[in-house]
Amino acid sequence: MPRHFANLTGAATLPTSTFQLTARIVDDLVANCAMGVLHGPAGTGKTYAMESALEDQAARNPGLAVTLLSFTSQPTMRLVGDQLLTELTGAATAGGRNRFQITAKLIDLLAHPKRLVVVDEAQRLNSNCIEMLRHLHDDRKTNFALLYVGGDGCWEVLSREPMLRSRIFRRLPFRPLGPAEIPDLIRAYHPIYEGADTELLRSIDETYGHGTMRDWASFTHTAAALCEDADRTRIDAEVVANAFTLLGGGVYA
Amino acid sequence: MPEPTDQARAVVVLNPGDHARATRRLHALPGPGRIVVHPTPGGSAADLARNVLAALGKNPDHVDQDKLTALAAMRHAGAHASAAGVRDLVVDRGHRMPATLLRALAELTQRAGATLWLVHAPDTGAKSVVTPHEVLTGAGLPVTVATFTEFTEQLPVPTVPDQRTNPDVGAPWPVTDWPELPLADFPQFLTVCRRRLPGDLFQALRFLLDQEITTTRSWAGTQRRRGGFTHDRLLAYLRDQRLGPAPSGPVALIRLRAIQIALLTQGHYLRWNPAELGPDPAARLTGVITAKVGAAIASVTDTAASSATALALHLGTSTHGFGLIRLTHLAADGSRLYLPPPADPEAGILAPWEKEGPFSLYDPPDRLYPRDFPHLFTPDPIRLPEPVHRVLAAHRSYRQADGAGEDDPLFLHPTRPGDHNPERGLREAVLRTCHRLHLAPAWLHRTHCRHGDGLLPSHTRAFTWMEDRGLSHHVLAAQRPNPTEAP
Repeated sequence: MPRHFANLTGAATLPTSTFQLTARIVDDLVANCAMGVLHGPAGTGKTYAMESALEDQAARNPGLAVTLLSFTSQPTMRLVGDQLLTELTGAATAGGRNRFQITAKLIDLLAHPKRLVVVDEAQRLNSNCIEMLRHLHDDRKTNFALLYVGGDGCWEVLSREPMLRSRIFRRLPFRPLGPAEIPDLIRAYHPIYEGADTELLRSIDETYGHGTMRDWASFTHTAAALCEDADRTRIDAEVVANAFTLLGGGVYA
Repeated sequence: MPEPTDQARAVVVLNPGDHARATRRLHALPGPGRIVVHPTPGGSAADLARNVLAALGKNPDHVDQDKLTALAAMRHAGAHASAAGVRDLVVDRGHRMPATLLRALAELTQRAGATLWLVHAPDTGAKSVVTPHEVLTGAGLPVTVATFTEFTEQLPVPTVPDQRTNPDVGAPWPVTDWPELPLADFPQFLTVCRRRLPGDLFQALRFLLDQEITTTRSWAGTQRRRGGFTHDRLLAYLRDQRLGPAPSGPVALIRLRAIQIALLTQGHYLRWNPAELGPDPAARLTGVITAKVGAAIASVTDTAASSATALALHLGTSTHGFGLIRLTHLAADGSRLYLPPPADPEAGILAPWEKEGPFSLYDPPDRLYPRDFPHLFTPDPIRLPEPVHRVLAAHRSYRQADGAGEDDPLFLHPTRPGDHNPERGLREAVLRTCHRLHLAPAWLHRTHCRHGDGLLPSHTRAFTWMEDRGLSHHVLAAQRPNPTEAP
């Protein structure tokens, strides 16, 4: 199981529709060596869903190699090539190579075995970097699926490139959970929410959670610690108030 | 910039939306007379040259190993494209190319005399997009615009040739599938083969042997009508027509035995001494330039290095005398080389790098004598191996594109063209190329050794092709006593 935000223990995986669709989309991309995008605001569970789908792939498809890439802000084409080469070879790239040689080497390395390349924080890529990844993906010799995962602005960046419109095989937008979904999902999320009052859960979501799983994980981490300190098994209004105090409300919460 | 040829033109192929179907279509397009280039993203002119060379089947690493500039690499690419008969040059991602690369493509197209199909997405919105129409027109190419549908109609996917066609269906036995044959000398060869080989295999051998005897008798008859054949003509016959192109050692051995039988009845003894040729002497009979070696030479980017290597390997000599070869001596398709011997052998010739100047009385130019270059000044044209025809044609095309006339030298000194003898530099290029191709001909040893130094302009080196194969030619008829004379 993938790691929850802030190493939260005891939390369950929420079977949201986007979470389940992610597994299906990764399946489709790998089967067709195609290109796909997971995008949505920060904390909506993209990375968790992607990691879970990759674990699932590793269990069912042991021959599949997975390469994870994440770049600093505003990477150059050269940096993308070097980092991909480093990930594929496991060694630092030798200097002095020209762009043609790096590209040719990457094409050779991406030819075998079947591979899934995941580019996290894809909104940081510029047009040249996207063109380079397209060039590698379009080459007849390469054999890999390409999954872009990005936060705010990711789809705006990718959709500016006309070349991607006809190449994106699967796209999945992530959104914050709606207030109606919260109570049922959260009760199954962690033992401290078992049987919790619907209104209490909605008030937590309104005040802190905002439908994003990262905020709910942060709140749960704090609330679980407070419950343990107070020798309680479930949250109540007092634990919630103390958690808000620790999570930014201060003494005025 | 080269003069635009009648055939050279550009077609800008519109691919709205930069659609992936264009890339998929382009992957299926390469075929005879057609190459497809997928430029390296963000690449320079040198990278584009490497892309074109790779599409032509050349080794792009040679651009760096030979320290070629982008311009020189692109010129070599143009020569190779011209020699390979490329009529359609398809280039993807035209909308991401700066004007400098488009101009380089225009020059390449003109050198190759081809049609440039530039796939262009007009609506990418990128600021760097230039209008290819203006750039290509400015570079001297007539430009038209075509939709993607028109492009697919005008450039259909080539049909795949049937690879199963066997050219040897007429022969009773596949000619490349022979076992090791007995080394018995030619008077006993057939007898020993009959004893050792299975019946069907012997029949196939007999078929080839008889065919070869007929061919050689026919050749000798032709030579007799021309006044008899000389050692030079026999060397050319063996090297260019019979033993050199033989597909394998056993086939070469059958041909050799047949030639020995046929020549003996004409009063010539062709002796073969396999004792010093190693464990498989029959394999040493064939030429060095097999289809595989020819393909390796063809992958070399520098046309001068590849063509000098092809000539040196075929002739079995170093680059001695290569500076004397002029464009007119080499056939346009690279199939023949002919340096006609002068009418007066003692007159001497002026080397292309020597100039008759006003001070020639005090410092007269050195004259060269064709008798010192018997491997080049031959009575008949030298037939060059088929796998390297395009290699030599590419270099001829390269020189022509550089403005060389028919009387200009085929090879130039790299830094002092026209003023210095290019042979020493060519020899280094041949050594370098042979090293890359894992070939080590003894006559190209860099240091003096028992095999001799290829730089020595000795007469003996002219005949090493036969000596290297343990062959020697003896005329019997002239030594035979006349039975009508009294003792």
